[in-house]
Amino acid sequence: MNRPLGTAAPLAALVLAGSLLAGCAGGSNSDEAAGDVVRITYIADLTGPGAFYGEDWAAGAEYAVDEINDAGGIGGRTLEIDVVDSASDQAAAVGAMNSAARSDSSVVMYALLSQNALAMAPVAQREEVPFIVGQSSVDGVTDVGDFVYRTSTSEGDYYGAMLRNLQEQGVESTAILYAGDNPTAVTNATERIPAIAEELGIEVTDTIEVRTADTDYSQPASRIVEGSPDAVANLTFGPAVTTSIQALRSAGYDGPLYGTSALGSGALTPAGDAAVDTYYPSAFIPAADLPWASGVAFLEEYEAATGDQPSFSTAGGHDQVAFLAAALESIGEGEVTRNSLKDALAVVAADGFVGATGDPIRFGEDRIADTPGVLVRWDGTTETVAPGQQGPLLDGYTGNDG
Amino acid sequence: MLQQLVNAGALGSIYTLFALGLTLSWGIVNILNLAHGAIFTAGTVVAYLLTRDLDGLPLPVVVLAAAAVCALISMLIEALVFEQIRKRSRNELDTEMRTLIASVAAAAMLVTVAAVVSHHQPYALPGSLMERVTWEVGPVRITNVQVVVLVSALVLAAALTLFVQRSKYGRALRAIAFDRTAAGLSGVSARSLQLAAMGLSGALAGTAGVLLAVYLGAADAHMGDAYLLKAFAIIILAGVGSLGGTVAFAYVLAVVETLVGYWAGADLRDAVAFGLIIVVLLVRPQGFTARGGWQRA
Repeated sequence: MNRPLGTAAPLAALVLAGSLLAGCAGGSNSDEAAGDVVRITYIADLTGPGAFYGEDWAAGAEYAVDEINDAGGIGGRTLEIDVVDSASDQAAAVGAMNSAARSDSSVVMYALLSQNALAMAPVAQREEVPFIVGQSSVDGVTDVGDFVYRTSTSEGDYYGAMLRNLQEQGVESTAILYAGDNPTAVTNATERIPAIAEELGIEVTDTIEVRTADTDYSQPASRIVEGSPDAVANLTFGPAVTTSIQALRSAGYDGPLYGTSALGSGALTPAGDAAVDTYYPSAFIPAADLPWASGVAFLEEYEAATGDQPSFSTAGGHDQVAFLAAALESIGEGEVTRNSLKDALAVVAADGFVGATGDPIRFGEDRIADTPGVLVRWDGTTETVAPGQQGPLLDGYTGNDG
Repeated sequence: MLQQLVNAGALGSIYTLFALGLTLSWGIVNILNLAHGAIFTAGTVVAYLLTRDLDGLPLPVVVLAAAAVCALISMLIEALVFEQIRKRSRNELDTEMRTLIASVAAAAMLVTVAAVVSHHQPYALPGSLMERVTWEVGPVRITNVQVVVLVSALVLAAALTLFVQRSKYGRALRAIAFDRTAAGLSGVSARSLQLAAMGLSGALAGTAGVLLAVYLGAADAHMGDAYLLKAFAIIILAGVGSLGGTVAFAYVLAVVETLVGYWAGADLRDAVAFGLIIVVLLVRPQGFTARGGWQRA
């Protein structure tokens, strides 16, 4: 029996036609030169689950663009930034990347969600548009090719120094509480941290898996307390951070906690005093005693300009643009094309540039940045530089000031 | 082991608090309201906003405010959505399916509002709402929050059971669940009673939300989802409509989860808990304590 098509068929045809037209639309190519204005498409998670951080990343990038333009631009050019909301959605993020690749933007930036960055990077490489990713910490984002860079260090590279710091405070044993449904947490809990602990002679008393959606942590907390560890690694996310810390304190654990940068940017605020003595690595915190001068300078300038304190996300967004700015400096008055920009980024990646998260920030062969990092101690209300830091957290980092 | 049983007691109380409202709407008045978890979340949001903007509010005031707002939300959903669906549906099956989908939509809307209000971040109620006190009894640690949650769950469960079984309104509620038309003919206003029942169910969800947020130390917009699944499990194990069974199996599930989690880890814990449900569905699909419609509660 034939069914009436109704409105579905014309609608589908319209969508198809729209897609084809969009696909045929002329856009920029990798040898097309920018004029007096270098355009950046900044794809940001302004709404949805990533919004809390995404807004700061975009704000940091916009601040850096204003800063550069106010200083007269670079090589006679000004920057223009077009912030596009990905809604924290992978399909929307890839769609925005496709649109940006077809536009006259010279470079695309994105900050946050690993699954989105992983899907966007191959598009950038295929379309030959420089793509500067901020924080996405999953491996493989930059593996797709030489158009893709990441301006943050792999966080696990900081863990050695973090555990050494705790050991210097007298920690001889640790338990590990981790979200078993998060691949990065699984790797850290079952491979990276135990390996570092073994190397340092720190005993792992217990490794307990929980689920991110769990709400009641009294049972794992009691089990951890039975092992009497000197420190507890908390590799959970979202509301689990607060509820698991509260459960540990209620169960009688009063020692230090440590974990990933997921504990930063306000994640510990709901836990309040229960989270005092929680340590985690970060690329930046708004502290006047940050161990590198360029970070302190950024903090002061940003506060003076906006009246707000920058978060590590704001600093990260700033440094994505700072990386681009250094590449444009390298090009000077030469032609700015996507290809020339890619080559200039490679030069800067090797030589280094000054950013809020380090001085210098250089990149490894994997096109992932090396930044010094700071060990943070939560004091119940604010993030502070942990006492006893000797040099950068990143092993092997050599900076002018770190 | 004793400590784990104390932990299980607190967890079972939370399950009880959450499941009571759902039992009332689903088990007693036959409205399968999947927005119950979202209304529970709304209770935490109301408490968060109140305590953020007004210092020094006592816990009972916050609980009452959250319960009132959640009762209102629940009644609005009943009046503006479920009642309209009943009027427009051709038969019982039609009503149930449409109500189910509408409740999913209502839940999504409420959760979205909660997520936007909280900026997709966890939020905590101030510690001053209930300062934590810990007592050490031999090898066991018990907090005042655990005691409050336990007592609240048992008192509310007893009160609800008495209300449904002994009061005139409770009997009328069971009458409309058994045969809405016949109850209507005998002078029972099904519409008003269902509205009141949904309001009470919402109030219970709001109360559970606030107490849970105090107990856990934080909440987030999606927290209700996990409890909704557990509440379904408990109600199926108990048998739909059995208030006493719901309370009993809330604690049974909590003990099983706690002990399995302790000995075998988080993965096996959920597998065992939900495996139990499959076994019950196969062996005793009516649950362990279910009775006929007119005998419910």
